[in-house]
Order: sequence, then C-alpha cells, then structure tokens
Amino acid sequence: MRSRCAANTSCRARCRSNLGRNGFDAGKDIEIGAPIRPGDVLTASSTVHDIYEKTGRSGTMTFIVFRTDSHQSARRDGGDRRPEDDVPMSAQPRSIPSTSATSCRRCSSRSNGAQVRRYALAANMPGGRFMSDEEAQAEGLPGQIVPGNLSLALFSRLLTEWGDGVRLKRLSATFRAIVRPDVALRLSAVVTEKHTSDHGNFLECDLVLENADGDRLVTGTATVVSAAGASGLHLDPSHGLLTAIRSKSVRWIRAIRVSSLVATDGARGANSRGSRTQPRARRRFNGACAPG
Amino acid sequence: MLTEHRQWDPTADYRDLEDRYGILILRGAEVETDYGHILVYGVNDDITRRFDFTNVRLSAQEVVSEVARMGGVAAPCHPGRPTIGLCEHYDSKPPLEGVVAVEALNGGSRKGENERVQALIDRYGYGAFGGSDAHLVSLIGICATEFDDDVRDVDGWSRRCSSGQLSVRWTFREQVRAARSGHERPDRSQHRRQGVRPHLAFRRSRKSRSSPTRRPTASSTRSTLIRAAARADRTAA
Repeated sequence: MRSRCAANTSCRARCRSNLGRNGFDAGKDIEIGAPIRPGDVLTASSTVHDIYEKTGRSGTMTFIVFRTDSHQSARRDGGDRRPEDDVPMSAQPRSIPSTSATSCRRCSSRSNGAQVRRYALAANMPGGRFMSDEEAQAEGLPGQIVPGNLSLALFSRLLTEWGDGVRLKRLSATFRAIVRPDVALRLSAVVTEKHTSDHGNFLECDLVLENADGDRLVTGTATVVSAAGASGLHLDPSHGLLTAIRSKSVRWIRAIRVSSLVATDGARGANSRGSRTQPRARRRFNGACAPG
Repeated sequence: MLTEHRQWDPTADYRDLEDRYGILILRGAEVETDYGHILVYGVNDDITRRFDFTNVRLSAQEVVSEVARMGGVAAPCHPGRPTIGLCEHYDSKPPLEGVVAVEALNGGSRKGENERVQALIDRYGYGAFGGSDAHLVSLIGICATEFDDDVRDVDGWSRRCSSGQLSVRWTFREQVRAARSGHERPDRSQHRRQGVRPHLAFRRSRKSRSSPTRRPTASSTRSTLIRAAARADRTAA
C-alpha cells in the first residue's frame, strides 16, 4: 500500500506546537497493492513530502503532506503469504465499449454519535472530537465530528458494492468541510473514464459526499478494477456498463448502516495508517475547514 | 478556461487537444491575496516575474493594477465565500480600484454565497462571469459564461471580461441537482433561444496535479478534462 503522508510521533508533536491548536486530516490518496488480511504484520516508512500554505473558508492553513509506504513484512501466525492474499486481476481484459456515456451510482447515509464513537475506537482514533460533543467543543469545534476515515469507508463501500468482483485500486479524498453525526449524507460516484490493461478493466470515478443543501463536504477520485468474467460491472460491449448499472440502480439506492463498518482487529492497521495531509488552522476554528 | 491554483506552467501546450476535440482551451491562474482569491487571465512573462503565484499573501490591489498594466485581467473569484471572498473584505476594507468583473456564479459555492455577489455587482457595477470551480472531472460545466460572439483567444476573453458584456448561467445538470435540493436556478432555455454559445470555465486542483500515484497523470487528466469539457459543450449546445 502506498499512500501520501503519515508521520512519526515527534514530527506530529512539533507540527502541533508550531502551527496552531487545531490540526485536521485534510485528505488521503491511497494506492492499494494488495488487501491487508488479519494476522498480517505491516512495516511502514513515512516521509514529509511537501509543506505549503493555502487559504480557504477557515483562513490560512498550512498543509503538510506525508508520504507513507506500507509493506507486509510477515504474518502474525508466522506463515507465508497465501496465494489468495494477492489480488487476482483479469487474465484477459475485455474490450471497452466505445460509448461515452457516463455512469453514476448513488446512496445515502446517516450516522449517529454513538456509531461514530464506536467506529473511532475500533479504528484506533480515540480523539476527543470523535467521542462526544463536550470533548469536541473543548477543542473549539461546534460538536462531535465524523472521522475522515469513516468518510473514506463510505466511499469504499459505495464502490466495492457496485458489482461482483469489483476491487478498489486507488482511493483519494479531500475533506473540504467537517462532517457531523446525525446529518443526512448523499454519496455519489460517477464514472469518468474506462480503460483496460493486462491487469484488468479499470474505471476512473469521481466521488462526492454532500449534505442535504448540496454542499460538497468530501470530494475524491477512485480507480476500481473489475476482473474479467465478474458479473455486474463487466465491460463487455454486448452488455455495456451503462446497461448493467441501470439494471441495478434501484437496488443501489439504499442506506448504509455505519455500524456495520466498524473495523475488525485485522483491519485496524489499515484504517490507522493511511496517508494524511494535515492542515493546521492558524486561527480559531470557526466551523468549517474548507480549502478554496 | 483552465485556471491552476497558485501556479503557472509556461510549457503547457493544449493545441493538440484543441485540434483533436475541436474545442478552445484558454489558460489562467488563481492566486491568493489579502482580498481573497483572484483569477488572472492573460498571464505572461512580465506577470510571472512580477508576482510569486505560490505566495498566499499577495496584495490584491497590486495584482489588479499591475496585471492590467501588463496586459492581463485580474478578476476576483467566488466573492461571496467567507474569508476568501471579496464581499467579506469589502465590509472592513476600502474597495479595490480597477476591478472590471467578478465571478458571479461559482460551481463550488455553498448555499447563499452566490446570492451575496449580486448586491456587490449592483453596487459597484462590475461585470459578471461564471466558473465551474470543478476540482473533479464530472463537475466541469456546471456553471458557464455566455458571450454574444465567439472568443478565439485569451485576449478576446480578457477584452470581453473588461467590457462587462457577459452573462452567466447554471448548466442543465446543475439545474437538475438544484431542483432536487430545493434551490432555484435560472432557466437555461432562455439562453438557448438567444442562440449564444457557452464557453466553459473550470479549474483543476493542485492536488490532482501533484498526485504521486500512477493515475491520473498530468497528461491523462488533461485529456479527460478536455473530453469531458467537449461533452458538456455539446450537451449545452
């Protein structure tokens, strides 16, 4: 797994002391090499890739870009990596239909404060801002907020449940504003490009998470790969991607229960070691964290 | 119009893409100043030597005045946005001299932000244009600027921007989205009857350009942007 950013403890402490009171996860760009299994032991190395400033609705922010590479060094049980641990991609990619039609997938979500708290604890993110309104307000926030990783998880589920055999290859998201619990959210994924290679059929998608007012709280892009022969999202021109999506569109419009996304023991490392770009607001947080 | 944030690449050349997809691609930049974000059109060597685009504390008055003197146009974008919009700064500071147009409709604005701009335009007589502010390919073309005649180069854009003879509108996709969320947006059928041709304005984020992953590369992203722009243009036409 290769990702932008991650930091060691001393670096983060120095950043916090020099750059202000509030630091936020501003986004992630994760490239997935192989799925992480329970029992895997991961080794990660992290470097500061870039530091820059920009101004947004929250004022002047400093962005620190960390780049992290995670590798599986061993399995907890001492065994070798199993063949099924490697991602089986398409052996013979199919042709891509020439149609330029854009396909879209949508769903809605609403998480309550207790669900967010459980997710944060399971994902090893025990920050007070994720626990309760009182602890969040002590940090200058308007109330409890949803972790960025949970937004990523919603995007991930939106994509991987698109069809049978669909795998996530890359996921990138920018957290443009805070997401609060008990708020109705709409998630959408739009296919913007289709291409094929020796490793399978790839779809490039735009991702948007917005509230009821249409404000875009989280935006991102993703690459999903569909193995040849997988049903539901194949690119066979005789069926067509758009046709496949339309036939299942009704089933896809349903709520996602956040409680079912709580990480298990083996997935904890993956959730806590993503890439991170942290803006440090230089003035008191005023309710939004949105680059311009 | 493709406006990069806080940067300008003098080597970027989109002529092949223009020929392949039959659309006009103009370039600009978005810089950050003490009056919020400002779009700079007609960027040339004099302007890039005079201003460091990565500096987020540029003087807005200097940008507006100097860019005009050097042959370009500087126009504040998303003026209704908190902290980085012109409206909020005008509440506490004197108005800028030499502003000819502002971005009246911005595709990334939240509820109420675009509505604040109309009062600004009425009071100061600024010209108005629209921009998608599309940090994603699928958002290109949700907001557009309409011209009474064809624009063939960035100088033409700058002249029309300076003259203030522009109209802005939401495109069809955004109307559907707005209707779903209860907002009211202008009816594009009026513009269609006038027979005017829309030109799309959009921006690409720094993040997408500097992504360390294999996809999207700069070239493929641009290609995708252009194709999406062409589709949106055809749809709008």
